Amino acid sequence: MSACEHVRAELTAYLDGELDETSASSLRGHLRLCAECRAIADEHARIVDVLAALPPPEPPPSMWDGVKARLGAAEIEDARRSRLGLWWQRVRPHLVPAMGLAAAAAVAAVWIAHRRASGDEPAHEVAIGHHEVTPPVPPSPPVAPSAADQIDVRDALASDDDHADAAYRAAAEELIAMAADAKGDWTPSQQKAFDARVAALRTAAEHAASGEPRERAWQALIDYVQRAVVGVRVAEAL
Amino acid sequence: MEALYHQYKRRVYALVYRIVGAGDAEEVAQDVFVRVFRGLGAFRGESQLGTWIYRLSVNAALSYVAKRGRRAEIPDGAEVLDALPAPPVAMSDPKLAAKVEAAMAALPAGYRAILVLHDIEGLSHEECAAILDCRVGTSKSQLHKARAKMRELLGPALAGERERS
Repeated sequence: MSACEHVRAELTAYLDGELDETSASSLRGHLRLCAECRAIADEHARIVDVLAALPPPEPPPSMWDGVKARLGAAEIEDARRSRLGLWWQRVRPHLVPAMGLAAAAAVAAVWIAHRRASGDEPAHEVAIGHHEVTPPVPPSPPVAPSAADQIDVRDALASDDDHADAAYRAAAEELIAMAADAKGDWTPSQQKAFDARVAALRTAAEHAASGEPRERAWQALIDYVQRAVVGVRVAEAL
Repeated sequence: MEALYHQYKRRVYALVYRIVGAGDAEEVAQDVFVRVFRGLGAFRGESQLGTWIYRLSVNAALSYVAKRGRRAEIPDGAEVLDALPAPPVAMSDPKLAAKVEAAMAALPAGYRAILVLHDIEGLSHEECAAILDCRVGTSKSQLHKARAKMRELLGPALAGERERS
């Protein structure tokens, strides 16, 4: 590094008084001899002076009102978030087991159908037909009935569908009721569009085939109301 | 709460103003105070309150600039000067303050931050490093680069100023 490069690299420290006296004296000596470095040092010093002399901007009087308004808006948002959080905590334990029961029952139905199709278990309807056209077969040795045979799978499925349907319906209706608070901030056209969309999604859910199609329809309604009321951020937070 | 606002409003506003520009300064400064008041409960006194508020201000301003992402939206020096009171120190070139503001607006936001903290607000490198969450050496080297860039941008204006003075 040349003497000039070294001096220019030290200029900021020199102007800020951070060089020890020996280094500062050496730098001043170089500036006495080198007009180019002296000019650069002068410009650095001038920049520091001008920056320090820049007048401070005065905050506008409206700023405090804006701060208070933003704080109020943030607290309202907090209230909505916490209310939704509480709602979700209350609803989730009902929704998740209902969905789990429905899924378990569906798996059981598939398993039983598979066993019947593969001949592991007597299928009553098919066996009756066979008795009419084939010679009687020796009775099978008695076996303990399986757990699956002790329940009517269709009844179980219907029962679990009913539970899930009721849980989804209750959750959706509760969320729609909460939306009434938020709607006060919307324009009339937004309120109208929201009501129309909710009505269409509710109708779709009520007329959907029971089971998974109806669950999806309720979920679509819940997702829509969540997004409309609290925005994507809160929906993601949940 | 209001007392704290009045205690820091000028420093927060001035800092934010120099980093984001006059047009967006009020909005960003309001955001800073909302963060301050909502975060006061979590402030554990590990740093000075002023340092913490400065840090929130710098972070909010730099984040805003990063999101805005378009340098063209930063006002030029003339617009900034119009919004400022008369300089307390007379300059031989009355337009020099505007040129300095324009040069600052052309700097990368990080350079603006260190110039404002050190050269305008008069904070030490230790304080700047605490606010910018960097080492003292980094603060010094950033300041040197920022001043060098200012000199590069202001070259002819500074030469004229030097000849007149």
